[in-house]
Amino acid sequence: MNASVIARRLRFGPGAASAPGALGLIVFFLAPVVTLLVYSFLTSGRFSVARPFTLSNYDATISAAGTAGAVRNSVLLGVLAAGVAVVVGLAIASWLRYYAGRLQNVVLSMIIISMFASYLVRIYAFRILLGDEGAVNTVLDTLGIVSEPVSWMLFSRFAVVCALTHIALPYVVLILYGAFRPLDPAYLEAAQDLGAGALTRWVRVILPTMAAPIGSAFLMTFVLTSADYVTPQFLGGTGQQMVGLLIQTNFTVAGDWARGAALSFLTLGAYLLCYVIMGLGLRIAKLNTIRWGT
Amino acid sequence: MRSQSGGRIQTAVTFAALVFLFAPLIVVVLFSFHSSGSLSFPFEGFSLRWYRATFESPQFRSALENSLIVAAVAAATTLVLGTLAAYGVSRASPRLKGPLALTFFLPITLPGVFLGVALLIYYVRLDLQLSLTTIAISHMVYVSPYFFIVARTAMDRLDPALEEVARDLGARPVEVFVRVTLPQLWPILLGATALAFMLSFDEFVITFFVAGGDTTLPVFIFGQMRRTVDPTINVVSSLLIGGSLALWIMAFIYAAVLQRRASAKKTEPPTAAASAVQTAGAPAEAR
Repeated sequence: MNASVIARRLRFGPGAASAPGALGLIVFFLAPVVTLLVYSFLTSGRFSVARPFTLSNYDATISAAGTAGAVRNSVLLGVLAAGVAVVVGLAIASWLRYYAGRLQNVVLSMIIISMFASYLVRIYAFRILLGDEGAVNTVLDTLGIVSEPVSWMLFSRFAVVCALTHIALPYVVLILYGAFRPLDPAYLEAAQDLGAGALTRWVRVILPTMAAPIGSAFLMTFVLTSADYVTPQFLGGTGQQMVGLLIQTNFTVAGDWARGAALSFLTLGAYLLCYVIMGLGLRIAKLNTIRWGT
Repeated sequence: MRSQSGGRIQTAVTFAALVFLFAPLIVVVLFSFHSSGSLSFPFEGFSLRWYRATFESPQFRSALENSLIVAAVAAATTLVLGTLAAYGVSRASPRLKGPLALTFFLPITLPGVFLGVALLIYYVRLDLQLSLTTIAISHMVYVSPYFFIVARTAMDRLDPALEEVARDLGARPVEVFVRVTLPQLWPILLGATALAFMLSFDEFVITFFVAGGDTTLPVFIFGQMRRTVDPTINVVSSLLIGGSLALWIMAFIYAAVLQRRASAKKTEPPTAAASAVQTAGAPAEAR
């Protein structure tokens, strides 16, 4: 009995082609995540865990001295980076859609190319760009804007937000550019003919129709940036704790796996909550689905 | 909308953003050619000494080699499993479609640090030695959703009539897949494989946790960054930028060539259908 006969007997559909990949993800994605979840309820040793099951990791994580500060910092930096990326991304995407003309493909390609620069390279670049003798200070000095180097730029929240925005911006532009495509210039021209100024067109036409993609671009960027653990290490000032960094330290330095696991799931839960709230908000405001008339 | 006054703010922001996106990269590349070890202005002249120093470093060479191996293994495995997965999902029964697609999409939704620590404790739990193998497995998990999204979109766009014709003419499912479905898709699959390769080559956030003693190129850069500010980091960074740029340009030219060929073929539309008929009509030739 050969394989195809067996397959026919078991009535495998073509869906069976997914089986090897799905199996791989069960073993090396779902199982690790479940393991982490179980670990978050175990008692921590050093770089190990043991029974009994307990809720104390969640308790201890929430009440730990450093947690509140790290959360505040992560939220602040994540919101700043995501906010800047979305506002700038909206400007770029609308430019690409309505004003770019022949430059559209060139600028779009440039943005995609910038995406291919290595993640670590971007972080490193801001370190040599923002230092006392870095390119930014050199330019400011040459132009006569400042007489002595601006020293607050490097190792600060500013530097972290710069790098995080740099990482997030190309993704945001691509998402929003795609979202602008169905918004035909004719809609905006109609608004203009009816007397709507530029601001009114943005507030009453563009932003409502783009609410869902703007929301998902913002949240995606927020998740991406607030969980980052490398940028604050290299560009943040002393004591710039962030949640991602706290998770990393728990696992690789402190060896407190159970606490790290608890913090991971608390963070994940918070992100999930953000998505749920956004989804509900869009639904209540009836902005979740836009019907494009012809 | 075409009025001259309109869009001034957008234009200004766009060009400022391009400066913001490229200035850091240009500075990195510029200082990789610096003749002195200083990473600040004034620029004292060009030299290739840091490139020489980098290529002579055994740590750099082994990191590069490791990165190439890991990315090649991860991309090749993703090509095979991801293509099958995308085919299965796009041809699955409506009831299976949603949950299956979600499964393959799921890894992309987790922040890297989360995936990294989950895989770390899992490998330790299984007593798997942290090594290039664990890096490669982790990279497969990380790159697979990207590949899957591209491949599935392409599969969904295929004309199902071609496969039906082949089946009606007696081709077995495997033959339909290999001789009708794949030939239409391989350019896109190749592009998605290149994307998987690049994502793996550049991955750091997850790799950091699962690397053990083995060093990939991003792990090597991370180590250098921790110790000093050193011009060889600029060299490695510039090589990474140059490498991905070259790959991207190649893909771009390739896509343009394909497009031209496709539009040339449009004058004789039935070729694809005809080849499907031929394929199915001669199943004996398949083996």
